[in-house]
Amino acid sequence: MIELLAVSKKYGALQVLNDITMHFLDGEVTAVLGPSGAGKSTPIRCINCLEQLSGGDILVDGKSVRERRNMREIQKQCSMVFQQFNLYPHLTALDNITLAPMHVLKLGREAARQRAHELLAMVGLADKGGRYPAELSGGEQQRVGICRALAMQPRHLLLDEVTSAIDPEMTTEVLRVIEKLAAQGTTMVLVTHEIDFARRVASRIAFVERGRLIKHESSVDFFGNQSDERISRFIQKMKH
Amino acid sequence: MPHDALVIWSGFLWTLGIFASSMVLGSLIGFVLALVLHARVPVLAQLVATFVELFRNSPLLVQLFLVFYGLPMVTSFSPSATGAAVLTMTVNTAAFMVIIVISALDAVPRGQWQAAGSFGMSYPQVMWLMVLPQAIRTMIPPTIVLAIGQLQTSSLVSIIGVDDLVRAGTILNTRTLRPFIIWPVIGLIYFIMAKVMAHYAARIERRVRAKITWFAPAA
Repeated sequence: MIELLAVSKKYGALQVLNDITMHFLDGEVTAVLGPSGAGKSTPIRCINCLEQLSGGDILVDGKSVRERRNMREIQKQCSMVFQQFNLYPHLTALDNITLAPMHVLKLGREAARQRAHELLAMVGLADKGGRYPAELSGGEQQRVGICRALAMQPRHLLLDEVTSAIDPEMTTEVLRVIEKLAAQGTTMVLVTHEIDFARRVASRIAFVERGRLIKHESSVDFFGNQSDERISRFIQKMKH
Repeated sequence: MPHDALVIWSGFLWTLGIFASSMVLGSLIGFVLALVLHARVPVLAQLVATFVELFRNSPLLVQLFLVFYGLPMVTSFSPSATGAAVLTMTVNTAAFMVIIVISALDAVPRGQWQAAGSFGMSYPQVMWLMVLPQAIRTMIPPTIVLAIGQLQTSSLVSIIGVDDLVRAGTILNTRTLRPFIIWPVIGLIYFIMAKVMAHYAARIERRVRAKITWFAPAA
């Protein structure tokens, strides 16, 4: 379980997150929605210790991100998929996937490669393991990015706008992979613009606006009988 | 005449030796110092930064005089002319190399650090497995520029009495009084050395580039 307790984050004078309290349960898929610049990505970047909190605390399976000695452990448990892929350009797709398991989890080379092959097959890239990132399309790179995160066998998967840097016709293949993972019961926090997709895969929705958590409720309630006028308008707008 | 050629040949060997040894040693030292600076090792990093500033912004000749004439007066260490030349050139090269390495490390996108760090890799792991392999290629061209510069600069060591190419030229010039023949020949040798070096460096760079196909832009 990941718990955000009164989390605040400032960049200089800019307040990005303001007193956010929520939790993500194991086995649950939560979509974080909200307008651009609302501070959607910041919570998961804080969970992964890529950003430091300005106030409050985050507990990942009971461990506080504020304590430096927890950092590696938390990063092992929470794997991140990035908006811009951030694949390592000097390594093949396969080596991208095996690097962290081999050096962080101390998995043997053969075991790591075996697992990487399985993951690549799962995302439909079984024959692309030897390619360098520059030789792959955006959608393919992002699927490798997902494999790289899954190879760590994390308890939580954090996805940061994973389709927004990909051509629209390529997003389907990425979303299909995420749907598959959701069906397998992978715990995911999904920051996204794709509202229809969020409705399909997420069991809970967190709606963030101007750094504040406006709603955190089940997907059914969020989309089914939305009482909040602004959120209804947002949903309507994003559908088109 | 054969004797003159021998004087020049000997000068060439000295120039080559001093340049090559200081370039290799200086690059290695500079590389290590750059890593210390980049890792912000307390105290050491500040020392490296000060060292770089001092040696980058003062003339090599002044540094040479300081080492050759100055050191023996305040310490028990009195280097030979060659020793002083290699030492000074090495330290000087290291100072410039620090800048080259640091710039190359900074040129690796921040997302690369984050991606590797986000999977729990330690700083040395990220540096060694992710950042350096990407940064090495960026370092090659400025290092070649530095090397060619240092080759020319090495001619200054003749002033403290190292028998390098320029000193060979001075000796021949004094004897023959034919500066318009001697100095073009000496100059040409430096020119050829620089060209040969640039040629091989370009080949190495091409090979590195060919091996690392990932610099081809994404389709």
